[in-house]
Amino acid sequence: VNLSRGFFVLVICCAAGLSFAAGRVVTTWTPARPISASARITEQVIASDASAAPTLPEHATDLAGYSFVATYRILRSATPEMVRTYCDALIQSPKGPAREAALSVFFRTLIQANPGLTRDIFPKLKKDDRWLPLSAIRQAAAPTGMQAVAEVMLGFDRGEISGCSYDLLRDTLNEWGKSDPLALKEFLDTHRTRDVEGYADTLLLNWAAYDPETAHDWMTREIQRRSSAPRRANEDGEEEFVDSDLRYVIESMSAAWVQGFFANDPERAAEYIVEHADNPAVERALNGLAGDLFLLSPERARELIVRLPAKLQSDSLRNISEKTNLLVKSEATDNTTSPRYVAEWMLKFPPQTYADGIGWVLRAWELSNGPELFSWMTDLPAPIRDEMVRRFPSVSSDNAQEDFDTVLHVPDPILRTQLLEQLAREAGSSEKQLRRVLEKSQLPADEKARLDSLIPESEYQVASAEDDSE
Amino acid sequence: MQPRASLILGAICCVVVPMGFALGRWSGSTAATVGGRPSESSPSSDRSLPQAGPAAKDSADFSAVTIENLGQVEFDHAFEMLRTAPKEALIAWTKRLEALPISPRHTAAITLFFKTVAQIDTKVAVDLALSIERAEPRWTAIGAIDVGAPLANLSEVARMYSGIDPMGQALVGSLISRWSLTDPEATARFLAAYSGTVTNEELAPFLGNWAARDPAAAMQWLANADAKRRSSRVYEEFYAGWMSKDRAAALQAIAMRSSEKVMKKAIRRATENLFMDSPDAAREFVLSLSNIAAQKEAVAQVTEHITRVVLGGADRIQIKPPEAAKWLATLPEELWHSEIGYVLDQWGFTDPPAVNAWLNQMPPQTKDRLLAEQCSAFNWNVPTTGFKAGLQISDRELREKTFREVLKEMNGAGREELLQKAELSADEAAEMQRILKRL
Repeated sequence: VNLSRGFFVLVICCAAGLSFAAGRVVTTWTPARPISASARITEQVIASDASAAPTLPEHATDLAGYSFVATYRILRSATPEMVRTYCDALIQSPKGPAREAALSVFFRTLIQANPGLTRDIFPKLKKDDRWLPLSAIRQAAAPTGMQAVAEVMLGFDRGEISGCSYDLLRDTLNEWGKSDPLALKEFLDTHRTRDVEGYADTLLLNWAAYDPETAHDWMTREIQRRSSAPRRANEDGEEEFVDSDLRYVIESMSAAWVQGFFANDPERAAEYIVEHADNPAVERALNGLAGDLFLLSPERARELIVRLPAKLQSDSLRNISEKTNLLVKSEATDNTTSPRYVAEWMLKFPPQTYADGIGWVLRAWELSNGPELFSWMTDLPAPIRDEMVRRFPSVSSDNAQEDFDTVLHVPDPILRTQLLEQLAREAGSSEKQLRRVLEKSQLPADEKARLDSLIPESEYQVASAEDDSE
Repeated sequence: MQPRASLILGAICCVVVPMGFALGRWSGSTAATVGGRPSESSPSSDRSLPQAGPAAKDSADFSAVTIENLGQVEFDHAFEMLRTAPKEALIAWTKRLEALPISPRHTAAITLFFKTVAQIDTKVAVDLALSIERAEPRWTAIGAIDVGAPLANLSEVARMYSGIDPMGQALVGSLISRWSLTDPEATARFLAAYSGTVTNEELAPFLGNWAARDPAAAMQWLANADAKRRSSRVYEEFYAGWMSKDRAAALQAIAMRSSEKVMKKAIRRATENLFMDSPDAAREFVLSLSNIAAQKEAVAQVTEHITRVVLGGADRIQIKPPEAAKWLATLPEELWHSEIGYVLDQWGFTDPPAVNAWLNQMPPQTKDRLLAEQCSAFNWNVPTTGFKAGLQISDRELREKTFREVLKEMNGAGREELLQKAELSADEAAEMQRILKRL
């Protein structure tokens, strides 16, 4: 009996073990079953989100209500033909928020699920229909999908995606390069005929952050190659490139490399910067990296800056002022970018060094916590307070009333008067707006007249948003 | 063994085998899912960059993940890894990302992590972001969630912003613009409770989206809002939205208020939208406006796509000079006067025979006035088409008057330079000399 019981248990255990092992093996090795796309979608949507429709929604625009996980799995497993058909249905749906929402969801997801297919779909879209999808894929693409985004952008006229102050292609390449500079290098190498040579600095910035030596070697070769471009003698008899931008491009590459090198090894890069401070490329690099160094360590930033020539010190502080974060409170655990911290850090330098940068810090502080700023200014020693008043920014054309009112409520009467005078003297192109605000104010008539007399006449006037709202 | 015992054994095996098989499949799929290793085909997997993902030997060991290298793995792996990771792993990765030295590369890693988690589970992403103490990574994470969160989960983004002191800054523009695409009522409820700054520029798309679904509700909201909300920009979007829902009613409403200065942008936008769809409809709308100033604003919105200089970037609305010229000519002269000249000059610059053919279809007096407009708007750098148009004016008096106006501010040297640039034929040059003598 005992033997037969033992045999019983043994057989059951073997059956359980073998079936368990078979289950695992089947899961690991069984190739995907050739089931229909719609059946796959059904399985996956049910598995991932029981409340979602089992297939692509009957009404294309309903896609906007799907979860990302469901949409991702649908698009990942759907055939290219299905995706294209669905895209057509979306494009042809009536214009309005529902279409915009669904198109956004569709392209944001597709660029992550299938970047290659996203790239292939774009040329078939009408020009007017490309902008929303372009915005969607730029926002959503993971680094591994950035090549597809960049290739989509190459399909646009360059003037459509870039201007004086923006370059959407550069933004994308920069984001991509931060995660995968070697892939970016390959892209630039294989697309040389597509007018991408100007983005070598974007590559170097990011590549040097990973591997400064290899990036430097590449840069040297690249500069040599480009330097063989045709030259001519200028008016002074000096040799210059026929392509006038080339010198600038080469300098940009060098500056970008220094910035990247700094991101890789701040200590060594700081020494390099001090040693090469007279190099124009290093000068340009400082404009980008001084702020990064400050974020890394305000103390180290100070140590580096004091070793630089006077002009670079001033430029560095201006760059650092841009790191002021209006949303960071003085009492925050990490308050390094709070306006108060940055202002007090800057005051450790001589006035001529912080003169250009402190204005924006004061503006940021005024916008985020005016009462705290004015209390701080009141308590400053007189010479420093006077300097802060001299650097205090005037009203902006769009917010003249708010800017004026903030100063009008400064509790300390002496500081208030000083600041009102400063607003008047520095009104600049906001002259019209300031005069209007001053006229409407509750100040005594003689004070209004006095302040008004301090406002210089400006050659240029900036139209404010208010002008359109009346 | 007795037959009965064999039957019992067989029955037990029949129960155990499918259970074991199912258990095996389940355990296999779980192990496979949490792998998240970088793809072999990943463009950088065999390069000098450090690999991301869990250690190859233990695919479920989330603590071995170098999360800052997330951007180097295929999205599918990153997605599966983050989707299946326990909350403890997500918290640990957040702490790790927060502790990294600040650099563009690390900022990119934080962005990618939060953008991806926000898509998978927005609530978790928001909780993680709000738990970050260091300012830079915290705001990077918040920004990434704002961008990454799916439309269906924007209530979580609203919760995130409700939990942040906005320090007087405008933070929710993107949120309300996107949320109102699918749920304007919820967006309105959020705005009613939100204490931070929302500019009119940010508010405008919200009202436009709402008006496209329910114009009456959007209008009611605007009527109850602070008077400062009823700005030119807000009305522009509101009426544009309403137009997409009920064009006739929206256009009628705009026309009724067309004398109000605050309607200027709404009139311009409506005209532009109509023109792109149907120039005839645009014409009808322009003529329905109650005053000449509003009508001129409307017309200028179309012609400015040709006449204005766009500094940086290209005009995304492409209107060709011929279509604008032909449209303008269907309007009363007072509306095309001082608008059509530059349009004709641009057209003539690229296709002179086409302009001439079109002008030749006009009654003589109209043709003369159009030529006079073209001549008056001549291009100083390329004056040929403009001058040749002026010389075609058949009415001698009008021809001389037009050139007198064009050249009156110029001294002799300036006129001479301009005439040289104009490259006129001998006959044309002789006629010009005759006109100049009479100036």
